[in-house]
Amino acid sequence: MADTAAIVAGKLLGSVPLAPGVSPRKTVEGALGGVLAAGTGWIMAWLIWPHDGAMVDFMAVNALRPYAIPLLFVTGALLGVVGIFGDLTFSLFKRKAGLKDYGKLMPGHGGWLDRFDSMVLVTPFIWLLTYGM
Amino acid sequence: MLKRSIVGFAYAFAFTFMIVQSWPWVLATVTILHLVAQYEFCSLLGNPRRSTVAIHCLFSTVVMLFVALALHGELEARSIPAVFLCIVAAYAIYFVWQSERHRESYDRWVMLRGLVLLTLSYAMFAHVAAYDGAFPTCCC
Repeated sequence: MADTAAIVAGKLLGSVPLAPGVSPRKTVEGALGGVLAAGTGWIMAWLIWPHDGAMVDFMAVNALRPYAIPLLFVTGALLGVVGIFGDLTFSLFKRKAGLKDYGKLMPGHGGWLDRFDSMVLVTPFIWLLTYGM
Repeated sequence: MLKRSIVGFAYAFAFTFMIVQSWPWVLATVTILHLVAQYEFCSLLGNPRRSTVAIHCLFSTVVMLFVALALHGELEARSIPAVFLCIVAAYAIYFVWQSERHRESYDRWVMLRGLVLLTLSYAMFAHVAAYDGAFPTCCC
């Protein structure tokens, strides 16, 4: 969700380059779009997912209950920021190897890894939020 | 851009549907996706031998399965670091042997990077995504 939102936001609003040395087409506006989508997506996941003990549950802590939705948004947004670094890490690998895409599995997106790259760094944090807290 | 957005969201929904299921289904799905990811990651090597790619994909997927099963509580959790380090050591030995045999020096760090980043991440992902009560256990 964050990746696709970042693409759309970057295409529509993007002007300031995010990391021109690593990935020249990524923009700050696209990254912000992705982070906002990640925050929204985390709230949606919390509402939809059967969170019986899974996912960090702010509602379970009385003091935090009034702030649960904003806290969920901030958590998702922070995961979105980590996702951007995952994206950039895999872009750096590609750049060093002289590749544009990892594959051709997804039309318009490249390979599966081009879409899942941000999740690679995010997953350990999600695991910690789910089982480590 | 419209096509790209539609394809992106379609894959996201298909992926979410596939992954938010019970353990056996999630494990099967993640195994296939991990194979695809490792295969694509091998493109960083330039023109590797097919056997090298095949061994890397299968080997790393076996590791992913071991780690995922351990995280899910089906294996002794203490075995995770030991199994993982044994695999990394076996990898280093394998690439030295390959380099000597074929006189080609693959960047073994690329493969190790794939093993550490992708394999651990996918194993954790499978554990997070699975929950009881979804397909197929709900229908058995």
